[in-house]
Amino acid sequence: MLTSEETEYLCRVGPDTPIGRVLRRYWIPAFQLADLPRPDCPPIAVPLLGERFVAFRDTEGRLGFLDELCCHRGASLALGRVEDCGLRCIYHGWKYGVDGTIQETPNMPESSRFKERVKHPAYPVREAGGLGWVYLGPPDRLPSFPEYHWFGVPQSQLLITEMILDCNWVQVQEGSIDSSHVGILHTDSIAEIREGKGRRTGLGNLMDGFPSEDNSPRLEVENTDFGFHYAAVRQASDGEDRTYVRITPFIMPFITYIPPTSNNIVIVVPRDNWTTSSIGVRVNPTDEPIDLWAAWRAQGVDDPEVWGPEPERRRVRLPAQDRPAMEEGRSFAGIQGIRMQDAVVQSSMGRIYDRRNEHLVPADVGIIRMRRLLIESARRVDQGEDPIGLDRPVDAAKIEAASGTIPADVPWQSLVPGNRAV
Amino acid sequence: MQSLGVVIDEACAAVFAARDAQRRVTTLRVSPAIYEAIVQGKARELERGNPVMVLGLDVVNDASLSGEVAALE
Repeated sequence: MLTSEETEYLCRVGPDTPIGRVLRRYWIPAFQLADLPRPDCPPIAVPLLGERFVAFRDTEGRLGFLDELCCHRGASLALGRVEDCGLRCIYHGWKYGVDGTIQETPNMPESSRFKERVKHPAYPVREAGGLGWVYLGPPDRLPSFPEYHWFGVPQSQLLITEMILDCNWVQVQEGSIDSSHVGILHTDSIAEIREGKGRRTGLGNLMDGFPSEDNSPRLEVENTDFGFHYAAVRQASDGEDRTYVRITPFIMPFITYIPPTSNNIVIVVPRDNWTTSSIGVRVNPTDEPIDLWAAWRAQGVDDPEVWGPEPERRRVRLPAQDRPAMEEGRSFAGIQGIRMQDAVVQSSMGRIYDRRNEHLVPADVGIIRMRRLLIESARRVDQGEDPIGLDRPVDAAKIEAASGTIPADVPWQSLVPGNRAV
Repeated sequence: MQSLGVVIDEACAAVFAARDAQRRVTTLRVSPAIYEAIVQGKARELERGNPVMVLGLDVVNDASLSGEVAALE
């Protein structure tokens, strides 16, 4: 449980909040590069951490990330025209470069020096791994750009599925580091994968064979330079002296890799206090083409009534449970697809779940540790220090998830040598 | 601010250590400030007659503890 003050402290993301200040210290995966596919394409509005921004790609292909509202009279620059290496407001024609330089102010005299003296707020932005990454923190604390393993993968080998949920980001993030729900909520999906049912997605396996009958794993959590990783250690099916382990890294503060490999990435980004982007990045490790429909079906987003890949259709319209399927034993949860199952339960908790009412158990160790790291990071930032994950160099490319069967006397950490404990 | 988030994380680690040592634990002792925060948060549950529990353990107010420290027994 948390007190109501602590819940507020943990969940609010605006610029004047403790966690808002923490989140602004990292490179934030803010938007999909697919939404800005070519020079001079239409700009996009990017709500992020309770603020409004606009992203655009100029004539030379450079990305700009600016405050959304024109600094003249506050019209949205997301309505603007991208032309001649800038973004022009359609209200009075003020035009901005990617660095926030005011290039033109047509409703001012030629002699005015205003545009030379004023700059529109612009933020560092990078493109990698199919996403636009931005930094909103103090300019003098800009961290080095993390080079995650999937950044070198061609975009054609990535499947990015962004679901926008009407609830607070923390309860979504808590779901991605909550191993004990997997065998319950996702019963149907796991059975489908084990039994080889359904169309091949072309993305390799989401699950390994899960070679264990042990439903009460020993959980071990260990702090790392990037946040923490935790292991669910089970007795393996193939012998008493062997253990089956699944290791999940949580990379502060947005990213989790879901085992068995590091190719299933979940990124949780707060749009505001009550709206969250849950971004799934699947890396295709095979030469097989991705079957989009099958991949969406596995995630539960194949029904255009509930979700679509276009920006205006990414907000999830929660599906009704299939109660007949539940009653007839065809489904446990009555919801199709792993990510939709997560989305439904996370949204069902309310916009910001009141954690006074929860009853945590030791199996919630990942959630418990994540909260602590966020709280600790807020304390550090308030004291002028760096938050966890930025306080020492991290070799981001080596961070990994894993699962496997190993002799019982071998430490599980041996499966993830790239994850550095602290 | 006294943090329940920190206390619960410490207690959770202690529960796992106890399990590894095959020691059964039933009670979580916390400082008065933390106890008060828990009781305030659980006020409605307590009115319904539920016990004060965290991580499945009975919570006891221990004046000998201070800050974000918890002890198991």
